[in-house]
Amino acid sequence: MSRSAIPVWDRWPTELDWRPMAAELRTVRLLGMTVRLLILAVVMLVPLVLWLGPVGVAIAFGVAAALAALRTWVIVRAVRAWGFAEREKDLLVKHGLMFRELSIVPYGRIQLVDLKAGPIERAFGLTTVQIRTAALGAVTEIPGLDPDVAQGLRDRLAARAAEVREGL
Amino acid sequence: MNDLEGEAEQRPAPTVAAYPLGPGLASVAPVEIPKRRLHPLTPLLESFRLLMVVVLASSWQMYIQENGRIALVIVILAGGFGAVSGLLSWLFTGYRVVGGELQIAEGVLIRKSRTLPLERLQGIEVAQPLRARLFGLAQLRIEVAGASETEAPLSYLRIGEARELREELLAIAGRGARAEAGEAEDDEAAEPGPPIAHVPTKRLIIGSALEALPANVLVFGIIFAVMVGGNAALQASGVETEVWIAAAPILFGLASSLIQTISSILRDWNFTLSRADGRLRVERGLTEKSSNIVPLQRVTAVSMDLPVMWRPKRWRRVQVSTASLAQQSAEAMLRGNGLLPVGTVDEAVRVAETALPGIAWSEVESVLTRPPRRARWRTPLSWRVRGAGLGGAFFAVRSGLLKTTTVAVPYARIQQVQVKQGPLQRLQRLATVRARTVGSLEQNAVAVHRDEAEAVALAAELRARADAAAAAEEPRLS
Repeated sequence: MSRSAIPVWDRWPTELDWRPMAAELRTVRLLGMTVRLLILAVVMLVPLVLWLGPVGVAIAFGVAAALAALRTWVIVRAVRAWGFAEREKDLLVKHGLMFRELSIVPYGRIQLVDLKAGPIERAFGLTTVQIRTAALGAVTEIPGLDPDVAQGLRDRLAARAAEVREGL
Repeated sequence: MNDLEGEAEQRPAPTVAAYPLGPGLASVAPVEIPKRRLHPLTPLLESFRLLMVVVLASSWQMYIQENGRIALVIVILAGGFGAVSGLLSWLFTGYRVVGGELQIAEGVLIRKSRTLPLERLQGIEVAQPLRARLFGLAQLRIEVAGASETEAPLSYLRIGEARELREELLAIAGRGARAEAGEAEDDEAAEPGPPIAHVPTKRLIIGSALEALPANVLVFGIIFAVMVGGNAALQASGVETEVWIAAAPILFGLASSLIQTISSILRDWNFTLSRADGRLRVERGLTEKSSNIVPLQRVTAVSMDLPVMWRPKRWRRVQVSTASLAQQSAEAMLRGNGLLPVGTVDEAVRVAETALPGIAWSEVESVLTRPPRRARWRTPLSWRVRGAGLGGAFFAVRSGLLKTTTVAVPYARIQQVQVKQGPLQRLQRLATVRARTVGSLEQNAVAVHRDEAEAVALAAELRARADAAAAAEEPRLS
């Protein structure tokens, strides 16, 4: 494997056990995409028929379906790319496939830890953990955790944040 | 309404007098301030602009129709409506302090109550907009940590009352009571210390004009060229039109940028920075005199700007962001948290080093290294300017061509670190490192297109140094 193929977060920090997201996250993401697509299709149906005619509509829907298939493939792989790791002093969250991102959040700087779950997430028994520091807009999300795991993570983070308060 | 004002007039002597100013104040049980109302002129001032618009519109109406009746009706209706709604809103607005919290109640139909925990108080500014100064009134801008939005100012109060309230609130917050009391005598009277920097009016005006120049010329030139070209093309095709009508929005844009420049000049008029007891004190303004205080321990980042037109003059601007979330609002960004709007290199370095004690600015400049050469085509013009580096106590980043900004973030103030890599960057083995801090200057603390391995090392190093610096810090900020 050439050097360029090794992503940043596999090289550093190396000896970490990255915890993956729950497998249902994939289903949740895919369902979310389907719902959005269906809504879009219903909204666009009448204008498209008037504007393009039946053949045009068939082509448009075909293109949309192809894009959706591509997106499905990306989602499946992107969900696998999510991961978080707890180190001694900080929490690491990595995500993204095309646009990779690694966030390092020191426990001492955590201001708020929230749990939240959207309707589809809830149906599959998943929870998202949101971590905020004092830097505005710096929200680190860990989606698709089992509620127990999320609760445990929240409690651990809150406890460690209280231990090492570094604040602003 | 008169007796209500009388009530405010006769309220007991400020509670602060009953408490000793000094250490140990924090241990005193929270003081309570009974509910008070704002100054009765508040609705009038709040709707000042609206009022002006109504008056102007109706006089215009009168002028073109030569028929005063409609205009008069409009004015009377608007005035009546304004008076009633203003009266109601004044009646339903009030503030009080209960259990260490400042509670502000407002709203007639939708009751709203804001609660500001005073223990997290970051700063209070007494500001006097022009319209308030006419009536001897002032507003109180209160900054609290953890507030998700800038708290709307408490306006309006009589100037003396506003200063008293500021002291009371500071005393209740138990924060810096002595320092605050020492200078409370106040904004005009006590001179806190020798000024660190003062901006002469001439330099301020030239600096602002020069800074606004390139963008204006560029925009104006492009649009002018497009219009001339368009006009020529239209005439060539034989269409009888006047493209010059399109000039109106351009003139409008130019005028608004001119107004912006002028208002920034007015805002920074007679800018004086002085030192008072571990804080910096900024005094400035012509139409709206304001004086605010920057606590040095709360500085999260310092930046030095060099707009391209200032190069021949060798002028610099120095800005800081502090750990008060109120500064991150759009308004505060417009207002700016400048420590020096335009100064010479020596002045700027002096101010920056005052804001970041223990950091030499020459070190900041010297630790910067450019991104690798293979990243050059990504930002061909500014590649030469870009730089990032780790200093003894800070992370430094430089960027920007039209306005070169060098920002230094002390390690102890770094909140979290992010590494990002887009698909193109991955092909080139580049990555972007971002240090996040509190305050608006954090958007500059981004080291773009660093070598992948270097970026990773940079992030690791930032985290380790941030921990070490925070652990060494005494006392810790919260």
